[in-house]
Amino acid sequence: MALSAGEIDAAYSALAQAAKQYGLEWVVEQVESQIALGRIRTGKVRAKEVPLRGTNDDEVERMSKGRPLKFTLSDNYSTQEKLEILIQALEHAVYGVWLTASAVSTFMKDNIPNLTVVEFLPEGISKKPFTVVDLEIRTKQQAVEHFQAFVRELKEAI
Amino acid sequence: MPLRPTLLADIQTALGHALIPSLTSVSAANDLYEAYLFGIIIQAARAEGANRVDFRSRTQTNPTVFVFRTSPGYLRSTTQDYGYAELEFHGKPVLEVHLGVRIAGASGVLHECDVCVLLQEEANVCRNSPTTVAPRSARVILSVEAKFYAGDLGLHLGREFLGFLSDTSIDKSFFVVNRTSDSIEKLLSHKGKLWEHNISPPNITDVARLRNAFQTGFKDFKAKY
Repeated sequence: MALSAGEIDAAYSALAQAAKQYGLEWVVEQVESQIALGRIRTGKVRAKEVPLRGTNDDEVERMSKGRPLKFTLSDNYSTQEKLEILIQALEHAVYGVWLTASAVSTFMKDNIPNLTVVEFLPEGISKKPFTVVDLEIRTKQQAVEHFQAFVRELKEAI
Repeated sequence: MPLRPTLLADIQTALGHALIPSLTSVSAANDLYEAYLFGIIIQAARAEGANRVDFRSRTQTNPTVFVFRTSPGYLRSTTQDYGYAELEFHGKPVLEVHLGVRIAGASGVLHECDVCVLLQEEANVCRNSPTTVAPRSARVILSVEAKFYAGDLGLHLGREFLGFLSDTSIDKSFFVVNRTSDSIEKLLSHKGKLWEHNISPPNITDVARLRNAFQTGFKDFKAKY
């Protein structure tokens, strides 16, 4: 049996809260922006299905006889879809970032003899510098796999 | 299937353990992604027969500390000893691969290239000039607008890329993203622009397609010069 709407809401809130707690506010912001936009599609809409404002009776009559017109439409996501979007976003932010860091570290290590560290530094002080340390990335592998396993379990339960 | 009572708490704990604290910000994710694409460009150059690939900075070859640039800057900058790659194909002008360099468009307006491949001759002019000079876009042979997103990308990113293209004359400019983005893909396809999606290490097919597209960029460079 799939989760109830209440359980899905609770799961969404818990994951969003955890994301914020660990510095992933940007993930929640991107997800909420996507949810607010809705699922975009193009579709045909009969003008007579849409109450027209600011038009006189003649115009309403004329529109209602027209063929369906092509519009860009936005459908709301269901609560289940919202949770799925958040889960997918967290996977990008955790697993995706870890994989990317791992690929960068391996590539640089394989190409530069005696490389000790890869640094990311801004010109000024507007951004926080950071380093990619191969050992740190490798030691996180098991934790990332645990996270992925729990997320898979949640996806199967939805 | 009912939700295991401790599953949400388990995910919350696992999330904390899985994250590398210095890599949780959106800017760090994007900077890493640019560095990842830097690597794919170099792989493409090798696949196209580059006979020399050197990693260097202004002061050293094969630096033990390789520094990627994380904010748009000028090649002349000495704030940090930023790293880049030198590429050479037999009998062709030497190329350089950089991250986060400002280049000049046709209008004279400066634009940021997340990743760019440009002629070393042009880079040297900019690096050694007594005044700050930006490379001309016509001397850039390949550029990448890189986007690492957790959620959907806003259409404004596609429009900004079109604005960048309209003011620059780079031979091959790519819009590359780690996931799909229907609206932007539709917009860029409609305009006949270069884009790739799902570019992330596990997506072997997509990554191979991007690498091949970069390789085509190098093939065209070899034919032109």
